[in-house]
Amino acid sequence: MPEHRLTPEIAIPAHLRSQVQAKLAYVDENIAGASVSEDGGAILLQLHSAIGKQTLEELEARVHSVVAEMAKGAVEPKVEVLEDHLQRTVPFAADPMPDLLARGEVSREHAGIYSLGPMLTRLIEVFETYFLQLAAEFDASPHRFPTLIPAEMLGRVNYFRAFPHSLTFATHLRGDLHLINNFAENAKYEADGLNAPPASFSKIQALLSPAVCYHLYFSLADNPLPGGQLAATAVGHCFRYESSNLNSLERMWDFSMRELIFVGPADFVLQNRDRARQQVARFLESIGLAYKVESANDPFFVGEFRKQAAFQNAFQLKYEIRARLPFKASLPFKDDTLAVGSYNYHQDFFGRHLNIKLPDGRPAHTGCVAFGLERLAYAFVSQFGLEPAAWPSVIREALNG
Amino acid sequence: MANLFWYKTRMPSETDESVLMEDLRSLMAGIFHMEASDIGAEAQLGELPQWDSMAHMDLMVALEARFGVELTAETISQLISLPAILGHLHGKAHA
Repeated sequence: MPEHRLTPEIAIPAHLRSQVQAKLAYVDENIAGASVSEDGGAILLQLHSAIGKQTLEELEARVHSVVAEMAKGAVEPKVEVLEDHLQRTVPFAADPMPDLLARGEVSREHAGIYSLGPMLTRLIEVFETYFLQLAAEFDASPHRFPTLIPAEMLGRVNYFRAFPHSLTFATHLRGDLHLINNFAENAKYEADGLNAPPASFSKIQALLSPAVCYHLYFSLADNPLPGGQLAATAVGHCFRYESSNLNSLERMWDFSMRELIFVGPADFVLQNRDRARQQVARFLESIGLAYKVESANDPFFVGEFRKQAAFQNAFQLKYEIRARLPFKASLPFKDDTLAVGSYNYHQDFFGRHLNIKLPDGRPAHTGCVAFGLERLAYAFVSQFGLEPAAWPSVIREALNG
Repeated sequence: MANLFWYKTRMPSETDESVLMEDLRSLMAGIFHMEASDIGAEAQLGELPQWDSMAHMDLMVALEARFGVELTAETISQLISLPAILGHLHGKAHA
């Protein structure tokens, strides 16, 4: 695979390195992968194939503009670590992915699309049992949400502006007999996708859902909040396209997320978010996971990144549970932690945009605690290996119970 | 010296508080898409419907460009009302 090295016009600050690196995957379809050097002074691009001088110059210009937009005048984040157990001793240090694939515990269907075997499925069921117990402690009502999400509603909460790069669109053939027959007779998968002409497909009315809690907020839209506050829980599939960043169970296009969601006055949401964090900390301690909880920001796209990430950080709206991946400790340019969950507070953003009102007429505040189930299982086997006999007793007992 | 330089070059020539207040209101009115006269002296983030998270960051960037306010996590989280912004600009001018 050809490589191309370039020097950014402004050095990429350390706190932006991984974020810029992730965004470079969306710069140009010729890019197969990208890494930013530790000092932020060099970018190494892997290209799908060799490209001409002019194309390369255009690609470089795009890279420079992305770096400039994200790094120029970037606000240095205030890093707050709420829990730090990263140095807990764990018994396993190898990359579990080769073994997971060899055992059929993970099957790769396509980039970012994986199915899981019985061991990982049972492990996730153990985590789910705990999360349902946690939800019960908050009297969280259970919900089931669809996989599709209306484009109209995502538009109402400015999702297209903040995260255009990660959207996954749902479409269908237009209601046209000739067109449908033509598709049925000629459709086939070619090297890079279906051969059907784009004009065959309907205008986008729905997308694959990028988050679970949005469905709850949408169901509450344009109404007074029943009872003035509520807690809810749901698990669902989420879809976030990550281009060439899609790799192993770390970054999946289609993944499942369990959420515990709070809607009500600011105090109610913040107190419950913090109480949930303390409960989860006890659980993570019981299984001996090596992790930390620190302030974070959502992966806003380039144009929105500087302002939105700075706002999130300044008001400490998001914290991530980052589990250690021991096998990554020795790899250059790689973060050796993986976000497996997050504690989020949206202030009154959804209350305002969706017109969810508290009894006093003010917009409701919202927050959620979210767990990426496949990532949590992946981080767990990265730290404890693939032999259940060597797993912490609390997990073994739950598996046998 | 740096602060004095800033004061002379970046502040309006009239340093009277009411002039600064009107200057700020005008800046905010452009960002919030509303009339300056509708922005109360105690206006703050979250209370004024147009002053939401996105508008707040637009305002912070405008304060940086217009008055040289340094954008940090602290200024972003503290300059959340018209009085707080006025106080910060006064403090900066007289530092």
